[in-house]
Amino acid sequence: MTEETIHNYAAESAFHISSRSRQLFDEPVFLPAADPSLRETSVARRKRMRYGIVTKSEGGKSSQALVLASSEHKKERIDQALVAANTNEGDETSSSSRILVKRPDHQRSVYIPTPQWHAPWKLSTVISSHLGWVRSIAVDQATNRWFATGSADRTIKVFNLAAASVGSESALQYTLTGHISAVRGLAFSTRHPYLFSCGEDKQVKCWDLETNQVVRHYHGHLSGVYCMSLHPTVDVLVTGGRDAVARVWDIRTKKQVHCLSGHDNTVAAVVTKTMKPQVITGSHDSTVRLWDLVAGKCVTTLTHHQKSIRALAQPSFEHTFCSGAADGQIKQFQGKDGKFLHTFTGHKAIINAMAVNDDGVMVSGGDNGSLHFWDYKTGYSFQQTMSQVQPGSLDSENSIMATAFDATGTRLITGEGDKTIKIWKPDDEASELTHPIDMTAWRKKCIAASKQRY
Amino acid sequence: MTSLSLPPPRKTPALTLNNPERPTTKPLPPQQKPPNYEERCRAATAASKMTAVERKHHPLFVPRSIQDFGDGGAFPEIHVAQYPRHMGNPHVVSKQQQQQQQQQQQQHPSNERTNHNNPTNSAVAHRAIVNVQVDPDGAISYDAIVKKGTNQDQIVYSRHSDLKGGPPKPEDIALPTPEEEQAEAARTQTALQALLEPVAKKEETQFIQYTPRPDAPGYNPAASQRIIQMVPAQVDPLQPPKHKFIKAPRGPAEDPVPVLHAPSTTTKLTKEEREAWNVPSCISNWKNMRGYTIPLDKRLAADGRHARETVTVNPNFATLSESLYVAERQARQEVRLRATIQKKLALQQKEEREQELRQLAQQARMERKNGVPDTAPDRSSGDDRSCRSEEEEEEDEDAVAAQQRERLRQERRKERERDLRNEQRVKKQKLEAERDVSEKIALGVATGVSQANEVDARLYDQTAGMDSGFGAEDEYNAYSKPLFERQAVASSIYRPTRSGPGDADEQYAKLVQGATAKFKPDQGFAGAEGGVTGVAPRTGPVQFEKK
Repeated sequence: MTEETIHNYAAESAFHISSRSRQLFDEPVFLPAADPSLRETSVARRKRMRYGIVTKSEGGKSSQALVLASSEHKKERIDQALVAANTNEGDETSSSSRILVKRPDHQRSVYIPTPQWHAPWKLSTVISSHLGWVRSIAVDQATNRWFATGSADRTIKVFNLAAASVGSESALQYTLTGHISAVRGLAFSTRHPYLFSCGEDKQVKCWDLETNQVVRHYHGHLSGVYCMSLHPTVDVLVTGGRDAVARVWDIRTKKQVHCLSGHDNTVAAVVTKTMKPQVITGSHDSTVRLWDLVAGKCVTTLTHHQKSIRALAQPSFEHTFCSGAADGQIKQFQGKDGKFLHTFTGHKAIINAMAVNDDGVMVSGGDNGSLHFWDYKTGYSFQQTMSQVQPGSLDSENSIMATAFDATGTRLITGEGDKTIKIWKPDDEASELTHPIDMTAWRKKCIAASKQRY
Repeated sequence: MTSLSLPPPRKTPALTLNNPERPTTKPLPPQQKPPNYEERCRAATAASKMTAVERKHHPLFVPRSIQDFGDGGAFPEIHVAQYPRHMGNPHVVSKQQQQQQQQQQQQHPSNERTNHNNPTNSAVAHRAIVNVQVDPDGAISYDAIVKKGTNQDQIVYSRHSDLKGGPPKPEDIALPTPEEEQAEAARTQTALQALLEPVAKKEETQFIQYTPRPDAPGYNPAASQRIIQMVPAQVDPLQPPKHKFIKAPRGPAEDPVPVLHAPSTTTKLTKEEREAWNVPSCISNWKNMRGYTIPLDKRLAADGRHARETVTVNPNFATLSESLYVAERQARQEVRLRATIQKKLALQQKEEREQELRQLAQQARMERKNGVPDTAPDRSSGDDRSCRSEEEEEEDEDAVAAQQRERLRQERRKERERDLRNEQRVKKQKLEAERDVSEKIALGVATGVSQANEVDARLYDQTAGMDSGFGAEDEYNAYSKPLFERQAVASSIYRPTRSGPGDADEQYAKLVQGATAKFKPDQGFAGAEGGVTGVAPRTGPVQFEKK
């Protein structure tokens, strides 16, 4: 037994570990010094993925110039490969023992999607009916005849949408009183004559719109309820609140089916879908969680936002969703697994509310009264505007608290901090010539986004 | 030494402890002992000289089974992962864990999909120590550590690509088909129904067949068997809930997920920034009784923060004002000089003119005296004396009159001054007398204790004690007397007087006339209509009559 043999043994074994650690128990691969054909190791495979390969055909057989050669014979081969690489592409780097070719430029090119043109929106009607901040809006999606607004004056007001959008005096249908604190969430059921409401008074109520009375209470929240969503296919209501949980209620029996706990802070936005992560919640702990409604468990936690999330929106035309946070960033995620897709930058305000219509227009309302309109598919902001406060209001009361599109997507209703409800509509006279898409700025923005370092 | 065991392929299913004799490609015969140290070294030397094909048939010894270790520990010179007695072997699942896993699978078959991010065996994730794992590309997956514990059955985003995002594939964001939606809805519905059902089951009536023991006390042989109906007790729906909400203790913390955002504050705030962002506290409702919304800028103003802010003024303002001042002074000086010169000139001219006039007068006098125009040389004649004496006389008379006038003027002025002084003194006295006590104290006029007469004299009456002046115990007359005697004030408070002019009608008329009544001209111009005092007030402009 000599010193040399031990060293040899150790070297062989070490090679096992370093290159083949994944296939820990596979048969060991040896690289004998005299072996002319080199096998591709996992390291080499990795390199290939990263830099591309330099291959050189030799005697009708494709072989690779490899890293681990040590003999004179190998050096020759490397030189040959280098020459081959130089003749093939000018864009290569070589270190002492490896040949690396950078990716061709087309792989690095910036992805610049073409935004779709949308007409700019303009203010159509201002309804000054509430005595407090208008904190929630729901449109009757089934008939598109009504919309309801919930306010900090503890009332819910139901308006005729058509009358309200032309500014008619008789738009207000009736006022529902019953909450003893600000009404923070509203939802019209599409399958029942019910309106659901939740408020800072910990109450979740079900109003029968045929008698205009409360027919059910969903009791269980330990603190203010800040958001709610009706499941589109199952008769289930999801509410989220300051007690940092989202509760799933059976509409009929009023029983709590699930308590989706996991957030560290107020659940400020909730969205429900038909498919697998059926519930999405956004919270003040700056995370978005996707929940499996069947198991009542968290599917994934998204930590892409820096500050508290106050708004979530999902379109009807694709399986994605967007979240808007207090740091003024809107992030788009894949609906089925929450994979991060895209950041919409530019809205420098606390984003209070978001909504998407079927045409692919997303609106985000800021806490300073700013409204940004986005092309949902590309993230191009085609309009930035500020809401005007009604006379007698302070500048600080200029804020968008809630937004909703009507069922046709041609009217935007915003609830504001100056106690008004505003209805916006697209400008009919605008065309692509009068309001062109600013492609240079958009391209610049895309390039800047692609250069962003993480 | 050529016959050596191969390392087992990793694809073999997870092993249980009760069956450690896992199948190897070339198991050692039961009696065969593992090669000793020298044998192993020799084999390694031989292997290094073999070709790859040969080596495949003569692999080196790698200890795998418990027997390979031969009741000993790991071989330090063999550089592969070794688990003597299967200690820490991630590929061996304990019986307990296996059972747990099976249960989970039965409960939630849906979890299979979520597990797709966890290609490795979940037994690895259960451990506190995580073995190095490698992804299909051969790179070490460093996120193995975050994909364990509670994150085991969750999707965990930990890659750089998850941070960067990118355009989605169309099939990834495709909307579900109505069939899929329906199936999902049905699945959800059944799952939720199952959660709600146990409660409904409870309310059903139950029948229990009951056979009493014959040797039990009170056994009735007539009823050898009974059927008991269990009916849920009626609950008053209006009863207050019997349970009380108790805050449940927080469950065990979830395992953290990678944070995929930049830290929110990259730089520490400076003092100025912090001060700029300091919002003053809201105005209390005690001070803001009506509950007005007070805008932030007003609150800031009330805070006085900006009042004490030092303002830097451009020094040019100072130089400008100084130069203006200098220029003004210079101009003034010049003007004064010019004025003095002009005055001097004017004086000179006046002197000259007087001289001239005097000369003319003298000439005229001379002419009157002599009947002939007198010339300058006449002045020096004998008439000169008489003429002067006349002049002197006239001047004396003038002087006397002037003196008298002056005296009268002095007297009148003195009188006026005296009147004024008097008036002011009276006013001042009145003001002093009417001054409020608090004001007096503030001015230091009344201290409240210095004067002896302000002490309650009753206090000195020691013989009578408290009974002397305070009266009965239940009587509240501690402040029966005012602290200060303020007659003046008392008298100045409204007291109707009859000293005023005439009756109520007259007073009313006076009031109607207003405060400006006394400014009516009671003196007309002489020679004008209504020029005499006491006539009716003018109705038009003054008209003079020609006489």
